Amino acid sequence: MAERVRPTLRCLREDLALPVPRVDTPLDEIAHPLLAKATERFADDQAPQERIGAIDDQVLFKVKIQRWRGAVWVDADLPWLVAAGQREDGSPEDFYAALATRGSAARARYNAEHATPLRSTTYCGYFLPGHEDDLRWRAEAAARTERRLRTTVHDLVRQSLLDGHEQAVMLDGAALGVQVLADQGHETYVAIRIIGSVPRRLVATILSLIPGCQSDAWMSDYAMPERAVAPEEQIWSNIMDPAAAAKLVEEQP
Amino acid sequence: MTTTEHAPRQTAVKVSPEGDKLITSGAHYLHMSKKDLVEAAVAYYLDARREEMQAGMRELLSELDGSRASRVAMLAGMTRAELDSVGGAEDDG
Repeated sequence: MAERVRPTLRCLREDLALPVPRVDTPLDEIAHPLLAKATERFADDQAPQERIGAIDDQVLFKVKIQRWRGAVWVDADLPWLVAAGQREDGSPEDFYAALATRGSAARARYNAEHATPLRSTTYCGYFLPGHEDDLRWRAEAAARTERRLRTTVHDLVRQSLLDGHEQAVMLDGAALGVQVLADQGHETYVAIRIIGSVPRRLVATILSLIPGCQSDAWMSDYAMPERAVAPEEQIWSNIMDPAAAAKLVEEQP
Repeated sequence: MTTTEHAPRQTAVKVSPEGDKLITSGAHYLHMSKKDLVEAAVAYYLDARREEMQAGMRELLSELDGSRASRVAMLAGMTRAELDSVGGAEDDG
Protein backbone atom coordinates (compact mmCIF):
# COMPACT_ATOMS: atom_id res chain seq x y z
CA MET A 1 0.00 0.00 0.00
CA ALA A 2 1.52 3.33 -1.03
CA GLU A 3 1.39 6.47 1.09
CA ARG A 4 -1.18 9.19 0.50
CA VAL A 5 -0.19 11.59 -2.26
CA ARG A 6 1.54 14.80 -1.12
CA PRO A 7 1.73 17.96 -3.18
CA THR A 8 5.04 19.78 -3.42
CA LEU A 9 4.86 23.22 -1.84
CA ARG A 10 5.33 24.83 -5.26
CA CYS A 11 2.45 22.80 -6.70
CA LEU A 12 0.25 23.62 -3.70
CA ARG A 13 0.87 27.37 -3.89
CA GLU A 14 1.15 27.97 -7.62
CA ASP A 15 -0.84 25.22 -9.35
CA LEU A 16 -3.60 24.45 -6.83
CA ALA A 17 -3.59 28.08 -5.55
CA LEU A 18 -4.05 26.89 -1.96
CA PRO A 19 -2.52 28.44 1.17
CA VAL A 20 0.21 26.46 2.91
CA PRO A 21 -1.32 25.15 6.16
CA ARG A 22 0.51 25.01 9.50
CA VAL A 23 2.81 22.04 9.80
CA ASP A 24 0.31 20.40 12.17
CA THR A 25 -1.74 19.58 9.06
CA PRO A 26 0.11 17.03 6.91
CA LEU A 27 0.07 18.04 3.26
CA ASP A 28 -1.30 14.62 2.32
CA GLU A 29 -4.46 15.45 4.34
CA ILE A 30 -5.33 18.59 2.36
CA ALA A 31 -8.82 18.33 0.90
CA HIS A 32 -8.68 18.73 -2.87
CA PRO A 33 -10.34 16.59 -5.56
CA LEU A 34 -7.09 16.08 -7.48
CA LEU A 35 -5.18 14.94 -4.37
CA ALA A 36 -8.06 12.64 -3.42
CA LYS A 37 -8.11 11.13 -6.89
CA ALA A 38 -4.33 10.72 -6.94
CA THR A 39 -4.36 8.99 -3.56
CA GLU A 40 -7.12 6.68 -4.77
CA ARG A 41 -5.16 5.79 -7.94
CA PHE A 42 -1.86 5.22 -6.14
CA ALA A 43 -3.32 3.32 -3.16
CA ASP A 44 -2.61 0.05 -4.94
CA ASP A 45 1.04 -0.42 -5.96
CA GLN A 46 -0.01 -2.89 -8.65
CA ALA A 47 -2.62 -0.65 -10.29
CA PRO A 48 -1.60 0.33 -13.84
CA GLN A 49 -0.74 4.02 -14.27
CA GLU A 50 -0.71 6.14 -17.42
CA ARG A 51 2.68 7.73 -18.03
CA ILE A 52 2.97 11.24 -19.49
CA GLY A 53 4.65 10.23 -22.74
CA ALA A 54 5.84 13.68 -23.75
CA ILE A 55 8.04 13.92 -20.62
CA ASP A 56 11.15 11.78 -21.01
CA ASP A 57 13.58 12.96 -18.32
CA GLN A 58 11.37 11.82 -15.42
CA VAL A 59 8.67 9.20 -15.06
CA LEU A 60 5.52 11.23 -14.43
CA PHE A 61 2.00 9.81 -14.33
CA LYS A 62 -1.34 11.34 -15.27
CA VAL A 63 -4.15 11.97 -12.79
CA LYS A 64 -7.45 13.41 -13.96
CA ILE A 65 -10.69 14.37 -12.29
CA GLN A 66 -13.33 16.84 -13.43
CA ARG A 67 -11.41 19.73 -15.00
CA TRP A 68 -8.28 19.02 -12.97
CA ARG A 69 -5.16 17.47 -14.48
CA GLY A 70 -2.09 16.45 -12.50
CA ALA A 71 1.38 14.92 -12.78
CA VAL A 72 2.50 12.44 -10.13
CA TRP A 73 6.11 11.45 -9.48
CA VAL A 74 6.85 8.49 -7.21
CA ASP A 75 9.83 8.63 -4.84
CA ALA A 76 10.32 5.09 -3.51
CA ASP A 77 6.84 4.40 -2.05
CA LEU A 78 5.88 8.04 -1.69
CA PRO A 79 3.86 9.59 -4.52
CA TRP A 80 4.10 13.38 -5.01
CA LEU A 81 1.76 15.62 -6.97
CA VAL A 82 4.41 17.76 -8.69
CA ALA A 83 2.30 19.72 -11.18
CA ALA A 84 -1.37 20.47 -11.68
CA GLY A 85 -3.66 22.57 -13.79
CA GLN A 86 -7.18 22.87 -15.12
CA ARG A 87 -8.49 22.01 -18.56
CA GLU A 88 -9.94 25.17 -20.06
CA ASP A 89 -13.15 24.96 -22.08
CA GLY A 90 -12.42 25.56 -25.76
CA SER A 91 -8.68 25.75 -25.23
CA PRO A 92 -6.73 23.78 -27.83
CA GLU A 93 -3.86 23.32 -25.43
CA ASP A 94 -3.86 20.12 -23.43
CA PHE A 95 -2.39 20.39 -19.88
CA TYR A 96 0.08 17.59 -20.54
CA ALA A 97 1.19 19.08 -23.86
CA ALA A 98 1.69 22.41 -22.10
CA LEU A 99 3.72 20.63 -19.41
CA ALA A 100 5.93 19.12 -22.11
CA THR A 101 6.38 22.55 -23.71
CA ARG A 102 7.52 23.94 -20.35
CA GLY A 103 9.82 20.93 -19.98
CA SER A 104 11.38 21.56 -23.39
CA ALA A 105 11.96 25.23 -22.59
CA ALA A 106 13.51 24.26 -19.25
CA ARG A 107 15.78 21.79 -21.03
CA ALA A 108 16.97 24.53 -23.39
CA ARG A 109 17.73 26.81 -20.44
CA TYR A 110 19.49 23.98 -18.61
CA ASN A 111 21.67 23.17 -21.60
CA ALA A 112 22.55 26.84 -22.05
CA GLU A 113 23.73 27.03 -18.43
CA HIS A 114 25.54 23.68 -18.09
CA ALA A 115 28.60 22.28 -19.85
CA THR A 116 27.13 18.77 -20.08
CA PRO A 117 23.88 18.94 -22.08
CA LEU A 118 20.83 16.85 -21.29
CA ARG A 119 20.07 14.10 -23.80
CA SER A 120 16.38 14.08 -22.97
CA THR A 121 13.90 16.33 -24.77
CA THR A 122 12.52 17.73 -21.52
CA TYR A 123 13.81 18.82 -18.12
CA CYS A 124 11.35 18.54 -15.21
CA GLY A 125 13.82 18.29 -12.33
CA TYR A 126 12.68 21.63 -10.95
CA PHE A 127 9.18 20.20 -10.43
CA LEU A 128 10.41 17.47 -8.13
CA PRO A 129 10.42 17.75 -4.29
CA GLY A 130 13.31 19.93 -3.15
CA HIS A 131 14.84 21.50 -0.06
CA GLU A 132 11.68 23.25 1.14
CA ASP A 133 9.69 20.03 0.73
CA ASP A 134 12.28 18.26 2.87
CA LEU A 135 11.97 21.02 5.50
CA ARG A 136 8.19 20.66 5.46
CA TRP A 137 8.41 16.88 5.84
CA ARG A 138 10.75 17.20 8.84
CA ALA A 139 8.62 19.93 10.40
CA GLU A 140 5.46 17.82 10.14
CA ALA A 141 7.25 14.93 11.88
CA ALA A 142 8.56 17.31 14.56
CA ALA A 143 5.06 18.71 15.16
CA ARG A 144 3.74 15.19 15.76
CA THR A 145 6.65 14.41 18.09
CA GLU A 146 6.13 17.65 20.03
CA ARG A 147 2.46 16.87 20.69
CA ARG A 148 3.29 13.35 21.86
CA LEU A 149 6.19 14.57 24.03
CA ARG A 150 4.15 17.31 25.67
CA THR A 151 1.37 14.90 26.66
CA THR A 152 3.82 12.24 27.84
CA VAL A 153 6.03 14.58 29.88
CA HIS A 154 3.09 16.32 31.55
CA ASP A 155 1.48 12.96 32.40
CA LEU A 156 4.72 11.70 33.97
CA VAL A 157 5.20 14.89 36.01
CA ARG A 158 1.58 14.80 37.17
CA GLN A 159 1.76 11.12 38.22
CA SER A 160 5.03 11.61 40.08
CA LEU A 161 3.70 14.72 41.82
CA LEU A 162 0.79 12.64 43.08
CA ASP A 163 2.77 9.63 44.39
CA GLY A 164 6.35 10.94 44.82
CA HIS A 165 7.85 8.04 42.91
CA GLU A 166 9.70 7.91 39.63
CA GLN A 167 7.38 7.44 36.64
CA ALA A 168 8.82 6.13 33.38
CA VAL A 169 7.84 5.23 29.83
CA MET A 170 9.63 3.93 26.73
CA LEU A 171 9.88 6.56 24.03
CA ASP A 172 11.19 5.54 20.59
CA GLY A 173 13.62 3.02 22.08
CA ALA A 174 14.78 5.25 24.95
CA ALA A 175 13.52 5.22 28.52
CA LEU A 176 12.21 8.52 29.89
CA GLY A 177 11.71 8.80 33.65
CA VAL A 178 10.47 11.68 35.78
CA GLN A 179 10.59 12.01 39.55
CA VAL A 180 9.16 14.95 41.44
CA LEU A 181 9.73 15.33 45.17
CA ALA A 182 7.43 17.95 46.63
CA ASP A 183 8.33 17.37 50.27
CA GLN A 184 11.79 18.96 50.35
CA GLY A 185 10.93 21.87 52.65
CA HIS A 186 9.41 24.57 50.50
CA GLU A 187 11.10 23.35 47.35
CA THR A 188 9.83 20.96 44.73
CA TYR A 189 12.67 18.95 43.21
CA VAL A 190 12.31 17.42 39.76
CA ALA A 191 14.67 14.93 38.13
CA ILE A 192 14.54 13.70 34.54
CA ARG A 193 16.38 10.59 33.44
CA ILE A 194 16.86 9.38 29.92
CA ILE A 195 18.43 6.02 29.11
CA GLY A 196 19.52 5.45 25.55
CA SER A 197 21.05 7.39 22.71
CA VAL A 198 18.85 10.42 22.04
CA PRO A 199 19.60 13.69 20.24
CA ARG A 200 20.46 16.61 22.53
CA ARG A 201 17.72 18.64 20.84
CA LEU A 202 15.19 16.07 22.07
CA VAL A 203 16.59 16.31 25.60
CA ALA A 204 16.38 20.11 25.52
CA THR A 205 12.78 19.93 24.34
CA ILE A 206 11.85 17.49 27.11
CA LEU A 207 13.44 19.73 29.75
CA SER A 208 11.65 22.78 28.34
CA LEU A 209 8.32 20.99 28.74
CA ILE A 210 8.70 20.62 32.52
CA PRO A 211 6.56 23.44 33.92
CA GLY A 212 7.79 25.91 36.49
CA CYS A 213 11.54 25.40 35.96
CA GLN A 214 14.14 28.06 35.12
CA SER A 215 15.73 27.06 31.83
CA ASP A 216 19.22 28.11 32.95
CA ALA A 217 19.03 26.17 36.23
CA TRP A 218 19.07 22.59 34.92
CA MET A 219 21.85 20.54 36.50
CA SER A 220 23.40 17.38 35.14
CA ASP A 221 23.45 14.80 37.94
CA TYR A 222 25.25 11.55 38.68
CA ALA A 223 22.35 9.81 40.46
CA MET A 224 18.60 9.76 41.13
CA PRO A 225 17.31 10.20 44.70
CA GLU A 226 16.34 6.54 45.13
CA ARG A 227 18.94 4.66 43.10
CA ALA A 228 22.31 4.69 41.34
CA VAL A 229 22.85 5.86 37.78
CA ALA A 230 22.53 3.24 35.02
CA PRO A 231 24.77 2.78 31.96
CA GLU A 232 23.92 5.12 29.05
CA GLU A 233 21.81 7.21 31.39
CA GLN A 234 21.68 10.97 31.68
CA ILE A 235 20.03 12.73 34.59
CA TRP A 236 18.93 16.34 34.77
CA SER A 237 17.46 18.07 37.81
CA ASN A 238 15.95 21.40 38.71
CA ILE A 239 13.73 23.14 41.26
CA MET A 240 10.11 23.44 40.19
CA ASP A 241 7.85 26.33 41.12
CA PRO A 242 5.25 24.75 43.49
CA ALA A 243 2.51 26.93 42.00
CA ALA A 244 3.25 25.56 38.51
CA ALA A 245 3.25 22.03 39.95
CA ALA A 246 -0.13 22.58 41.62
CA LYS A 247 -1.56 24.04 38.41
CA LEU A 248 -0.43 20.99 36.41
CA VAL A 249 -2.13 18.64 38.87
CA GLU A 250 -5.33 20.70 38.63
CA GLU A 251 -5.22 20.32 34.84
CA GLN A 252 -5.74 16.57 35.25
CA PRO A 253 -7.04 15.41 31.84
CA MET B 1 30.52 -9.33 72.64
CA THR B 2 33.11 -8.16 70.14
CA THR B 3 32.50 -6.91 66.61
CA THR B 4 34.84 -7.02 63.69
CA GLU B 5 35.28 -3.79 61.68
CA HIS B 6 35.73 -4.43 57.96
CA ALA B 7 37.63 -1.95 55.81
CA PRO B 8 35.61 -0.72 52.79
CA ARG B 9 36.10 -2.98 49.79
CA GLN B 10 38.76 -1.74 47.33
CA THR B 11 38.42 -2.22 43.57
CA ALA B 12 41.22 -2.62 41.08
CA VAL B 13 41.11 -0.51 37.90
CA LYS B 14 43.07 -1.55 34.82
CA VAL B 15 44.96 1.18 33.00
CA SER B 16 47.43 1.15 30.11
CA PRO B 17 51.21 1.15 30.83
CA GLU B 18 51.34 4.76 29.60
CA GLY B 19 48.48 5.71 31.92
CA ASP B 20 50.16 3.98 34.85
CA LYS B 21 53.39 5.90 34.18
CA LEU B 22 51.45 9.16 34.14
CA ILE B 23 49.62 8.33 37.37
CA THR B 24 52.87 7.27 39.07
CA SER B 25 54.82 10.38 38.08
CA GLY B 26 51.82 12.59 38.87
CA ALA B 27 51.44 11.05 42.33
CA HIS B 28 55.15 11.65 43.03
CA TYR B 29 54.87 15.22 41.78
CA LEU B 30 51.85 16.00 43.94
CA HIS B 31 53.02 13.96 46.93
CA MET B 32 49.85 11.86 46.82
CA SER B 33 49.11 8.18 46.68
CA LYS B 34 48.17 6.84 43.25
CA LYS B 35 44.73 5.92 44.63
CA ASP B 36 44.06 9.44 45.94
CA LEU B 37 45.25 11.00 42.68
CA VAL B 38 43.00 8.80 40.52
CA GLU B 39 39.95 9.45 42.69
CA ALA B 40 40.55 13.20 42.82
CA ALA B 41 41.27 13.36 39.07
CA VAL B 42 38.11 11.47 38.17
CA ALA B 43 35.97 13.71 40.39
CA TYR B 44 37.66 16.81 38.91
CA TYR B 45 37.16 15.54 35.33
CA LEU B 46 33.50 14.64 35.94
CA ASP B 47 32.81 18.09 37.36
CA ALA B 48 34.50 19.71 34.37
CA ARG B 49 32.52 17.61 31.91
CA ARG B 50 29.32 18.18 33.84
CA GLU B 51 29.78 21.93 33.52
CA GLU B 52 30.47 21.46 29.79
CA MET B 53 27.27 19.39 29.39
CA GLN B 54 25.24 21.92 31.34
CA ALA B 55 26.59 24.82 29.30
CA GLY B 56 25.70 23.01 26.05
CA MET B 57 22.20 22.29 27.30
CA ARG B 58 21.73 25.89 28.50
CA GLU B 59 22.69 27.08 25.02
CA LEU B 60 20.10 24.81 23.41
CA LEU B 61 17.46 25.78 25.98
CA SER B 62 18.11 29.46 25.23
CA GLU B 63 16.79 28.82 21.71
CA LEU B 64 13.43 27.81 23.22
CA ASP B 65 11.18 30.75 24.11
CA GLY B 66 8.28 28.73 25.53
CA SER B 67 6.36 28.76 22.26
CA ARG B 68 5.32 25.58 20.52
CA ALA B 69 6.91 26.82 17.30
CA SER B 70 10.32 27.03 18.98
CA ARG B 71 9.98 23.43 20.20
CA VAL B 72 8.93 22.16 16.78
CA ALA B 73 11.85 23.98 15.15
CA MET B 74 14.21 22.55 17.77
CA LEU B 75 12.99 18.98 17.22
CA ALA B 76 13.16 19.40 13.43
CA GLY B 77 16.68 20.82 13.63
CA MET B 78 15.77 23.97 11.75
CA THR B 79 15.53 27.70 12.40
CA ARG B 80 12.26 29.48 13.20
CA ALA B 81 12.57 31.27 9.86
CA GLU B 82 12.80 27.94 8.05
CA LEU B 83 9.80 26.61 9.97
CA ASP B 84 7.77 29.72 9.17
CA SER B 85 8.75 29.50 5.49
CA VAL B 86 7.07 26.09 5.22
CA GLY B 87 3.89 26.95 7.13
CA GLY B 88 4.82 27.55 10.78
CA ALA B 89 3.35 25.71 13.78
CA GLU B 90 0.11 26.17 15.69
CA ASP B 91 0.27 27.73 19.14
CA ASP B 92 -0.24 25.66 22.28
CA GLY B 93 -3.75 24.43 22.61
